[in-house]
Amino acid sequence: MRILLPLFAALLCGCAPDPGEPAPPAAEVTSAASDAPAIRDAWIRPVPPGARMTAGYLSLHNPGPEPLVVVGVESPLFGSIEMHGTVVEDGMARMRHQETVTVAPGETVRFEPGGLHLMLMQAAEEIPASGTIELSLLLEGGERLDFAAQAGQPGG
Amino acid sequence: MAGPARGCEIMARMTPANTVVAAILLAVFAAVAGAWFAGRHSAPAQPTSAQVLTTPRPVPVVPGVDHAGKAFSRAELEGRWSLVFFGFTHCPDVCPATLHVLAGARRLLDDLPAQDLPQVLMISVDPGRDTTERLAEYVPFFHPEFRGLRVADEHLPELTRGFGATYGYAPLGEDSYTVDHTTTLFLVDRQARVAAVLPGPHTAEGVATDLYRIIKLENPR
Repeated sequence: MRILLPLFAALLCGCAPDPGEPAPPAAEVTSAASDAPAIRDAWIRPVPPGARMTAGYLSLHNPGPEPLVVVGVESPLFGSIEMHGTVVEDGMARMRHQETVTVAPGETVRFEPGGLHLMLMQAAEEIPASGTIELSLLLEGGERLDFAAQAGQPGG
Repeated sequence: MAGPARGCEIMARMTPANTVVAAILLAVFAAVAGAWFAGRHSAPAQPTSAQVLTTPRPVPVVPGVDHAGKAFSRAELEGRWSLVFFGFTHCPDVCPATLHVLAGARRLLDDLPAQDLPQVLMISVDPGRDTTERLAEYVPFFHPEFRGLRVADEHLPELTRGFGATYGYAPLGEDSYTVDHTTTLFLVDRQARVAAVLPGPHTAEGVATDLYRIIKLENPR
């Protein structure tokens, strides 16, 4: 695992941010503890009316001394949420399920278009295009990180 | 006899210093005129990331319907530019991101004359789930003029091969699947031939700039 972590981080850093989608106003999780993980720039992609699935994006920073392992995602609005990674090779996009996502100490992992993303499925009601959506990251060891994601495309 | 006499007079006034001044003036004039002609007649700017095909490939003739249920044939591609993207509506990440970029690019091209404006088409690589109704909900959401196309399973491989695109199904979760697909954008010319390919990642500005340049190359003015 220790060997895999830098590799994984390097892979994630290789995902170019989409300049068409600038960073949204931060919907942040903050905590008094300096070692607390920080979730920033969380947003949910707007979808056509009637769609029951969409994608979510965020950045997750781990200021602590131990690796942070995300093992699941929950939301009252969605029946099922998975973490997926899109890999584009030779112009071909492949999307694959990711059981866990690990953030090495001091590192930030970005879920962003064309790369790692939350796949939000089985929406219980219409997916809003504005406001916020409640989500939680489930961590290895049982801790939950609750946060609010902006509904709608940042900057437009 | 007055003519030659005046000519001599002029010659006589051309001291070496005057000659140098005249030469400089002539050189400056030539440079300005040259720049002016070059500005008017230089080759138009080349596309930045699009690859223009030296031998355009005709789009194969296969039956299809658009999201309004209207039959879509090769004739719909003739006489105008088309930008083609292969995607599917159960795609949460790459397809909506690309359609969002294309909507931005389309808006940047709004001031092109109507006959030069490319139509934007998403051809579904998932006809099993993408009914015309589903495409009608999905594709125009990104831009009201975008069209979704449904081509039946048995014709899709021939069509994608003609473009140089590929797709394949991969299981996802317990009872679902996802579609791996080419993210490259294809520009189809007025003769219904694939004229250029735009490999990703795409930005609205990049796509608009390339389309604008390719369309200008066709008819430089």
